[in-house]
Amino acid sequence: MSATSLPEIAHELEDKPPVLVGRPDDRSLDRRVLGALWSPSIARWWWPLFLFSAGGTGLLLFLMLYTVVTGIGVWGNNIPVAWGFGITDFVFWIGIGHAGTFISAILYLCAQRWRTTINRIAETMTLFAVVNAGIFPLIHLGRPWFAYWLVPYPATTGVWPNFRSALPWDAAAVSTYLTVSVLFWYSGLIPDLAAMRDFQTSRLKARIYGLFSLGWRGSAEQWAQHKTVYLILAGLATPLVLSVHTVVSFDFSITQLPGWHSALFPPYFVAGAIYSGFAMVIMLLIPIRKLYKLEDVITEAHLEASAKLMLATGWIVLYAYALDPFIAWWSGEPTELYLQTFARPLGPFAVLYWTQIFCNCVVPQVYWIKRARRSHVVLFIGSALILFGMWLERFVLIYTSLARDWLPSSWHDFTPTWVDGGLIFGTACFFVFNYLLFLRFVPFVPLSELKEMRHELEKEDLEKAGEELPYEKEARGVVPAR
Amino acid sequence: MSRIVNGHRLPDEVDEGAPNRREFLSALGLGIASAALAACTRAPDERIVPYVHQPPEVTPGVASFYATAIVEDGYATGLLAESHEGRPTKIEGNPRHPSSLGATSAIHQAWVLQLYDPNRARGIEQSGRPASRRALEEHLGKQREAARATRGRNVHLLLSPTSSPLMLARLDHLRAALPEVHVWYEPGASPVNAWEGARRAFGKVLEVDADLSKAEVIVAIDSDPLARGPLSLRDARRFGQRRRLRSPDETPPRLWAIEPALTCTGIAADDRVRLRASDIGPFVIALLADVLDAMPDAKVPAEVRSAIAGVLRTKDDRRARLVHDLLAHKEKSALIVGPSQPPEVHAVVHAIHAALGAIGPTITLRPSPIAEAGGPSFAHAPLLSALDGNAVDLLLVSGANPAYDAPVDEDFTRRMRKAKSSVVHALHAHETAREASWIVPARHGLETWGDARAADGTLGIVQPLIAPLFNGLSDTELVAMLAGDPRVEDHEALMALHAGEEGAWERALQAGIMDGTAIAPLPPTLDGGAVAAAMGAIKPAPAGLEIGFPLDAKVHDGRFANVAWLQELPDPITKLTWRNAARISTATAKRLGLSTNDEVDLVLHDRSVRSTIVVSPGDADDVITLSRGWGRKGAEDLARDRGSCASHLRTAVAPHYDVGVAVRAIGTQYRLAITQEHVQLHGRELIAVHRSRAEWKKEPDFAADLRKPQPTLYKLPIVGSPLHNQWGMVIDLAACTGCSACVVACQAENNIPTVGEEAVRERREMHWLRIDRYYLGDSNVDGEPRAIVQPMLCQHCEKAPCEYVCPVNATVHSEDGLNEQLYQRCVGTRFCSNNCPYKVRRFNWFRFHHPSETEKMVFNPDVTVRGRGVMEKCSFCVQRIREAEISCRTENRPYKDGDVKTACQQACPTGAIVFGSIADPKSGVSVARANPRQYAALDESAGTEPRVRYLAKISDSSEEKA
Repeated sequence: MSATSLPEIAHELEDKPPVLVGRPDDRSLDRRVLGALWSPSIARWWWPLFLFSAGGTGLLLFLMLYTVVTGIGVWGNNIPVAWGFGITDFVFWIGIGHAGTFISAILYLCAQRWRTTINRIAETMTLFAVVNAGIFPLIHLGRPWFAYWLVPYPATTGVWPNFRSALPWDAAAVSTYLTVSVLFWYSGLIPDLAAMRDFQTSRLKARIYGLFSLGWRGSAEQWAQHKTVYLILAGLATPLVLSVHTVVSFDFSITQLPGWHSALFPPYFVAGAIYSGFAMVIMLLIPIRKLYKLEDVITEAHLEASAKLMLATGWIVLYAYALDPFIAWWSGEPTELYLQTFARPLGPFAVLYWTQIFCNCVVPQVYWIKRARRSHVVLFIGSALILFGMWLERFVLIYTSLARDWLPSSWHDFTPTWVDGGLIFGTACFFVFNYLLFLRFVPFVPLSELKEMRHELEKEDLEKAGEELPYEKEARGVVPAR
Repeated sequence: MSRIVNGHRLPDEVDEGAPNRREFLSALGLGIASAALAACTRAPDERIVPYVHQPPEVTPGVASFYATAIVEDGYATGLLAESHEGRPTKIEGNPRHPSSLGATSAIHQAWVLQLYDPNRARGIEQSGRPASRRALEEHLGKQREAARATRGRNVHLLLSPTSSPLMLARLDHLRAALPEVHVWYEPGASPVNAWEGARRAFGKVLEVDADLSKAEVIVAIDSDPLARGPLSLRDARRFGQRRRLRSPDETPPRLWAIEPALTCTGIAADDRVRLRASDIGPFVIALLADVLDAMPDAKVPAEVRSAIAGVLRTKDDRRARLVHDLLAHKEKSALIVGPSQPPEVHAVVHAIHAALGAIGPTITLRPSPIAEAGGPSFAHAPLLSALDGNAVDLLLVSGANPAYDAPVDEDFTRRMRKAKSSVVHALHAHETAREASWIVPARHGLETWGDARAADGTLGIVQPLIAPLFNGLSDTELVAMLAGDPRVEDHEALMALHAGEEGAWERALQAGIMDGTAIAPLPPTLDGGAVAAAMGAIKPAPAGLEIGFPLDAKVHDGRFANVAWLQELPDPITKLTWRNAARISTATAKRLGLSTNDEVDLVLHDRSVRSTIVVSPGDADDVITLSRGWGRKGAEDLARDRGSCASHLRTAVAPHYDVGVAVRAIGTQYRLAITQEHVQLHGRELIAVHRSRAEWKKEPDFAADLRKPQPTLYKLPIVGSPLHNQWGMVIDLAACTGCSACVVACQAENNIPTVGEEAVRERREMHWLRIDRYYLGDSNVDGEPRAIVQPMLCQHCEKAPCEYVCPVNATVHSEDGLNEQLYQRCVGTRFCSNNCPYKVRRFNWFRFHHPSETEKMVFNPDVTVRGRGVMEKCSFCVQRIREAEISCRTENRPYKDGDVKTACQQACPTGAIVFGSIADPKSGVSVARANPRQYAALDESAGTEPRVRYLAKISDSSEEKA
């Protein structure tokens, strides 16, 4: 590397994969993006996956019912470990939900072109992840039928939620996030649903898509309003990316439990959330572009950008991990010192802890290497490890702090039950189940935005070649107006 | 306490047939109780009966207290039973009874649940078929008439040891009919060795009564005087009073414990000597020899002095220090020998007392209140040979379970079948009852009229609180039936026996005792020759692994094994629930390559018992301890097949301990349900603070930093509002022995469910109050660990971490400083538990209460029965606080200190728990808070400002001085 000359670095910088390979015309994009949805060729893999995930979803529903009817004791939770897999799963799924909004809102505001093709894939991931996350705080209550008490409504009892607790804020933050995400997702979808309507040959399908496209005609006025709404929603969603996981982190940081009580948590949780979210995005993009043969639309550029973001957020997470023992040492509190400098790295939780460190801190370092960033296999396996590592991170954080708290007399370990395991498996299946339905019925590549980008790219191409731009030609009457 | 409405005599029995008032009342109580309980969840299915004719002494909602007593192996402990509309719900100690002084043990607290045990025998059975009382009466009458020919020679009674004048009168009556009837008393749980030791030393059977309020050196020799035995509540109270030090200049008595396995007394001890039980005899004679050497002018018989020449004395630093202590205090010494030690050791200790001049000033000896104590009737052997000779026409067993508990080589079960007819009178269809031709259900103590003597002889009346639930007979009734006594009813007979002058009977019922009935002490003379012989009989024990079979701290000899509260009570030492296990010391475990949960076969004299290892730091090396009372096989559902039966290894010659046991690991594990897995403080010595007296002297205010208010930006939410009492509690760790009476008292008072072994293993036990036990010492717990116990309950923090995290305001602070839990508002996020530094909150993971129809009756109607999904925790017995406040208001008087006692405080034998208002500077709790030992647990780290404070444990080891 020492001999790297400036031109070489310039070349390195130039060596970016394109965000769109070729310049497919509108009709072919229509055919490929919209036609993919109802294409009979996907049935080969779609149906088996669908049936399997439907089975898993059935298991999820059964286990939810079983938990609510029998009691939370069917989980492995105990005193002192009163929160176990349930809250771990909640934080995990909420975290995954972050990359979607990050891509669609923040990158939109930052005018990052590579977000265009993949934003709907990521946003949809957000929706289904948040739906999954929402399951856990509900069923982990001792009396879930009173969950509405966490919502500030004017009750005749005159009793309000306790606003000093993080949990009512949590409920508010998650439901706000879900609401804004749904609105944002749907408003982006309207032109594409209309395109889908126009693309259908079957009258019934056209009607149904027509219903959902809310009368979109593609007029200039509609486009103008649409753009404004989309921009406003992007502006609204942006702070939510930061606030939701900040509030989730309050579930821990407002306590005084050593290992939870930390002012570091909000940024660390947000970074961790985006980190795991991008891992999930990669794990979705790789099979989707392959199965739908969309390699020219979802390109190396998208994967590489995601990998770079994982590397960046991974380092924030690593920094937070490194600070934990430091803060414990700084506090001088024996309970925290024991947890951070002994119990986690050297004591009973060493295997969990070092697996977490390996997955979240060691694995992403491979993305310093360009070839690794572009290798589908490395990306896929790396992302899977990081996803697992991030789940483990939440589990280690929640579990080990509770299991080794102040009084050694109450220390106790946690053993998950089959219900605990079944619920994770069930939510994963539910996620896949929802996602398969989405791939089947909804244009998962934002067609209108893609076309817009293609036009912009064309313009740039022409500008680069010094040629006249199409509308200039139109203006001169060289070509007939489109 | 104001709410004690003592002394309502129960009405006389009216004619049989029609339900009398008591039966009516109890039925009514059941109806109302079930209705009220059912109403907690859904509309009642049962038809309920309104209180049309309210009995004059019953006010619905107001509890009455009746004096009664529990009789254990013949010794009575006076109790007050709380009754709600005719159903007993809670046991308290009778402050006027010399064996209680107001305190109770864990077993006493759980006794009330045994009353409602659904597994109790429910009717007379003949060979498995229901039979009528008349049929039994006819059968016994036939037996009696048939036996008249042989003057009753072939009639054998095996009874529980008794001190009851009524029982003795009944037996006299029986003997009038059958003069040669054999009456045996079950020796299994009686101090026969102590009686025999006294007989050898003094020529007569006497019981030792050590006055711990005077003793300066207390030596517990293979005994647990602060937690076990008929006088333990009184002794613990006296000991506790002298341990509650206010300044380092006070001199507490020094407590020595010489024991094979750590006991509650051992936890409280300043000095411990870990010895195999079989090595204690040689230690004790060497002790006598050392004492006599140092006291050439001691008044002991010459034979004893000359016998010391033959005593083998190895150099032992601990013995030297003990001798030094004894010589420093001479007549103010008390050596208390346990019932497991052989008579010779008891005799030698009598000689030590005599040499020190302690008999009189500190040690009182008086005849036993137990009938025929020390006599030949306390044995199985003659009965067994009679059985072998087919010379038993009728065997009547009452209050004993020899088929389970007798030493294995007596083979009681098989021999018992040789009796032509056997009648077993028992609370349950237990092992012995199942072998009998007749099963007669016994009355529970709370259903029985009776009388019994305390260990000092004080006579008290046992009053029934409720009509028999399952048509039981009392033992006295059964004997009367056999004797053909027309006055079978106990009540009448008892009145006739104790009526005395006008009003005496009523007074006895009210007080629970009859004044002036204590047995006078006897000034004994030591029989030198016998003591010398005893000294000669004590031989050094062979080396090897010893196994001990003490009575269990919870289930005694198995008779309480079906009581869920006791099953789930963590053992005071091992914290094990729901079974027994083979205890071994850390070093022995290491040597044998065993650890907790390992399953082993214990092999002794070719007999083998499978058990599970539990490592118990502080036990003597080379000792296995397997407590009795487990591995039951009777009809008791909870008790059946739990743990290992020690009696399968006990032999008639060595019923207490034996050397030569082999341990064979079988390679499997059984996960024991232990409530505290981590026994060390991990550098957090400020949780359970311990100082030696020397350290305290050096630093008189060592706890100042641990109780000072933490710096804060906020005002404390509530400090001393003048309108309210400000409730607080102080627990003296120097007085606490970890006996666990408070744990069961809390369970009984607050309707705390039991959850079962599996749930305890998952750490879902519900005890609001637990006793943490730590072993101190920096490296490990191999050597001579010092244990410290710390009752842990909701600390009622002024800055409670649980309160601000609850999303629905289900846990809030009251104006009088209570941290309140609102069950009906709780949604069960468990956030509060996560944020509780003390982990005292308990969650209803399932619906834990599944009471049977009878068990429902034990519920305290003043406390909510919690359903599934809500958090619960100690409330400082808020129901008692509010009740006292209401009576203050209705009686228009100010609250005075002591009007409220929490359940744990009331039960505590040592008086380690003080509760009251810290707003009143003169209250007991304020005085205790002013103690320089006072500190707040974890406040320095967590800043919780707890209302519960601890007084640091102070010990005064002789090593320190040397």
